[in-house]
Amino acid sequence: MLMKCENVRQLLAEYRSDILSPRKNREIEEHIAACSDCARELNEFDAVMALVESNVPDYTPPQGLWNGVYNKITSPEQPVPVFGKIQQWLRIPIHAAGVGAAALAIVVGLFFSPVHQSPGSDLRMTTADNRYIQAHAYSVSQSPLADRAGYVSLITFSQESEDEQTH
Amino acid sequence: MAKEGLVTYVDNDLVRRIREGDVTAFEELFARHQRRVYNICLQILNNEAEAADVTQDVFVKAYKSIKSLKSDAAFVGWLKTLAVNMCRDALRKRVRTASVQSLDKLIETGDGDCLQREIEDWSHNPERSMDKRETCKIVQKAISSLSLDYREVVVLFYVDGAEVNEIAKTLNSPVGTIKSRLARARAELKRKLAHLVET
Repeated sequence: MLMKCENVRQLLAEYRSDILSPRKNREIEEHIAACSDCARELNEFDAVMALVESNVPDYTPPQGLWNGVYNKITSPEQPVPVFGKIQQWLRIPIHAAGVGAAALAIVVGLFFSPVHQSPGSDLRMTTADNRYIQAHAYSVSQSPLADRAGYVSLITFSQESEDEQTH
Repeated sequence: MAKEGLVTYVDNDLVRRIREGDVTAFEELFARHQRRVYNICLQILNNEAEAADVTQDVFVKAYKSIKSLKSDAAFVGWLKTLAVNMCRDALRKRVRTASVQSLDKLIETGDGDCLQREIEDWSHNPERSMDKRETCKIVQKAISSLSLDYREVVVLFYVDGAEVNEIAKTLNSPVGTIKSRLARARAELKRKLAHLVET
């Protein structure tokens, strides 16, 4: 008897599942033929498997499952909104996407805002810019709903700015 | 064997008709396989309501993607693969909701055929009927207590009655892996259920 009882008992499931080498199978068979305790252990294993096989559950599905399936396969498909598709693709929750977009907007805003420019950078407008602003402000100030005082002050400011540049 | 061949033939015909847009053919196919899918889902998920939902989703997905099925004859295996995969998805979602309804309720209310059949078979002897009821409940608990890898294999092998090769295809795993999982699952079942058998 080459194999120990402990080793044989550990391999009974593998033996019954047909995954051992032919040599190992033969060793187990030889051991079981000579060892009544291990033979009893194998019988017990077989009995448990027979018990499982004869007591497997077989439930009747609840009524009405087909109705749910039918409704889903016959109803027209709802188009998924573009944002929904992006969200599905990214597989991130909506609030996380919102927070990410807001953070990105803040960073981009700060980067491109005039505040970001260093004091030495050239933000002064050219004479052409000033003239364009004046013309535009004058034309829109003619609208009955326009804030005329605001536009007049803008025209004055751009004129002063132009004067500074010319002097 | 002849019966199995007939089943496959009828399935093939139904699948062909479904591909042509025949919803009544799909209803017939649903009627033929809903029990099998429901029982696989129920044993993997261990939750009656979830199993019903997933069973519906499996058939909806099957209908919508039936054009991707390469061979009509592969329908049942494909359906079981969908069922197992969708059960895995449901279990992942469950981690967030964490609502598990024990099968005990199902068994205690006597909804299962396991019990219905048992009552028919054992009605002449109420004492033995109770034994059978208890055994059924304990076996079910033992199966549902296995890890997901083992449970899937055990459910497909014992509940669905599939061969190891077929399970390997369904789970897209090597035959050796399935045999190994089945062996370990059996060893675990033996440890859990040995007290029920007398040798």
